[in-house]
Amino acid sequence: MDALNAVIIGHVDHGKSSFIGRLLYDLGCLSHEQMERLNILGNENGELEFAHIMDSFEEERLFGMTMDTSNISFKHGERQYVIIDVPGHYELLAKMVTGAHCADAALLVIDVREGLQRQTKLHCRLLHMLNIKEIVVLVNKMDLANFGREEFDRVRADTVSFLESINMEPRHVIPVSASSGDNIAAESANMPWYGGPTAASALNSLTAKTQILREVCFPVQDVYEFDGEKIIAGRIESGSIFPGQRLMMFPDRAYYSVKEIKKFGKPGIERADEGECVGLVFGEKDLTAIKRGAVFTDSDDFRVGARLKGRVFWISGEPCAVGSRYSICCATQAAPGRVTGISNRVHVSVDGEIECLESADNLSLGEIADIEIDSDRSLVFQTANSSKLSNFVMKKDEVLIAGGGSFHD
Amino acid sequence: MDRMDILENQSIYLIREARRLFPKIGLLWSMGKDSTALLWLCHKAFFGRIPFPVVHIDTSYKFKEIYEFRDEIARRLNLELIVWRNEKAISGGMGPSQGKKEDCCNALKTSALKEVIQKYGFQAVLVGIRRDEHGIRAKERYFSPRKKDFAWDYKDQPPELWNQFTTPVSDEEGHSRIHPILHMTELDIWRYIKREELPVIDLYLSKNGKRFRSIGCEPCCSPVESEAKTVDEIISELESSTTSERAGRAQDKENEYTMQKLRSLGYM
Repeated sequence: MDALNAVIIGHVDHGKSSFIGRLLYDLGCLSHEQMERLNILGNENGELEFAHIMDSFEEERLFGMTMDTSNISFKHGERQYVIIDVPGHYELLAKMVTGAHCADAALLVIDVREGLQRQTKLHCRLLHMLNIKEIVVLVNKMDLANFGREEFDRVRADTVSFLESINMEPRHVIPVSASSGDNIAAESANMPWYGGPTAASALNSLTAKTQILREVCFPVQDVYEFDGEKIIAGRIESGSIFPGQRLMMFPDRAYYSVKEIKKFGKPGIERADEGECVGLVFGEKDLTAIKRGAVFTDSDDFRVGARLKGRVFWISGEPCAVGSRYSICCATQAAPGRVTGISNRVHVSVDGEIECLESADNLSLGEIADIEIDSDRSLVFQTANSSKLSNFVMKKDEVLIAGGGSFHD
Repeated sequence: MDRMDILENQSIYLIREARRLFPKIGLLWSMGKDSTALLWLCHKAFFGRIPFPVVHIDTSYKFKEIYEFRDEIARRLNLELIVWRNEKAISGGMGPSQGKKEDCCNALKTSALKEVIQKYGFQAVLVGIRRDEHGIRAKERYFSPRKKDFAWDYKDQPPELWNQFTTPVSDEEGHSRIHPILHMTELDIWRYIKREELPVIDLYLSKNGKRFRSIGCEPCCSPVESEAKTVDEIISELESSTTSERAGRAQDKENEYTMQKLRSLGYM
């Protein structure tokens, strides 16, 4: 079975880190030392602090909040999991995205007493932008609502209709209690009215993202010259490469033929596939035009242009204003560019209301919008959102990632 | 691709990216299993050579087997090896029996690293830490910028997204720690060692019912009970073990947050 990376998302204090700790505890996946530490670091009432498994910083435990993303890898049954914990605070959105962007699936934790809050909605909207479609909803702290079915049904209805409004559909909605262990790994005796899966079995039912693109996409990462031979290094982002193949290099649209595929210790490679970091040796004599950022492909389905359009989320505390300059980075390409337009901006207010603005002159932390950029140089990109060339980030001063998103037409 | 291939390719991508973005880069090698796996990944990433220096921060308290192993591998892989010690602290008598372990780690490891980074002008160093080693290391980034005073600003780590990283452009700002095997677990490392047939220091293998699971300075490492005499036996032992890897490391035990303090000051 495919390994699964799952991120736990949701509003502040709805119980994301506690859920992870409890899940690992109930599945018997904690080490001897982690178990010991749980007992040592229990709270003043002598209860186990499950959140401390993930919250390792002294400040995190002191203030009872996750400051930064972390993840934990474990095996259960035959499957390898990575569970990603992220902070729930609005200000820490950059750290949430850092953790969430590599997930296949998400578990959304909602406090039954509070229902959908600001970050509940914001995190779900981001999932959509990160191309994460598999989602399970955990309605948590059921013990504090007397395990009431009505309370659960109300939150479930709200959540399903909110997700529907952003074209998402949860695989399951499960009433749980992380602190008392109800419906985490074992069926709850406190909620006989619920007949669905536990959180652990719902997690196991989720599937990893699979690549569907067949065309060759090979962005040049670096050019080496070892022992008088030029080796073009990069990772095959999609498709397969074999010796003798003729590939077109964007943006020049020049053809080169693959003479040899190099990997250390593996002579005579007949084919290399998606995900492999390889070195390509080409038959042509003049390879001076090949540089980092060029993209080799066997398809015409790539765009080349300097006028870029995309949908982005903003994760920097410093707002993006029309007219400001950023470095636009997509795979191994980077080019400076200027923001020329911001439209269809979505803002989630403090009380969770969604506010849309058709045309705006800036974009602040946590907001999502369509953006237009005039780049100083042409970039090679795609608009299919499963392509590695469809995602880009915007860096301030060529250093810090301030926003990210995907290209569209 | 199987799991090992996926992990290896991710590491090689990061190593190549780091060398491209930071022309003045070095690799920290402690001769332990993790940094030896990282050394091998670097060797593979550049098609059978490591085109930058390999640095051993020598506290002078390492096991003698470590030194023998270092010299043998350095010769076989033709490494550009830099051995660096904080001579001043060592000759001043700093050692694990002098006061707090934290102070010794700071002087003999962190300060020595500061010296070597300054002396060689490294913009970045590759370090073989892994998330599953310790809760604090689980919070790390692949590319982790450090300030000039070496501090790890763990409260304000930069975002990483789609293999795009924060890359300080000016040397004034300090250096970057690059962690290409952050995503591997202890078991992954042993399976990789087996697959690649990498040599390991024999302290990892059981003698008289005990073996070392994590190797650092001799006075601060204790062996664990184990009958695993081969890499295969270590793998099957770990598949069923519930004891954590750093159970034998003294500096982790002094205080719950010692690792956080050490790392915030620049410890590896």
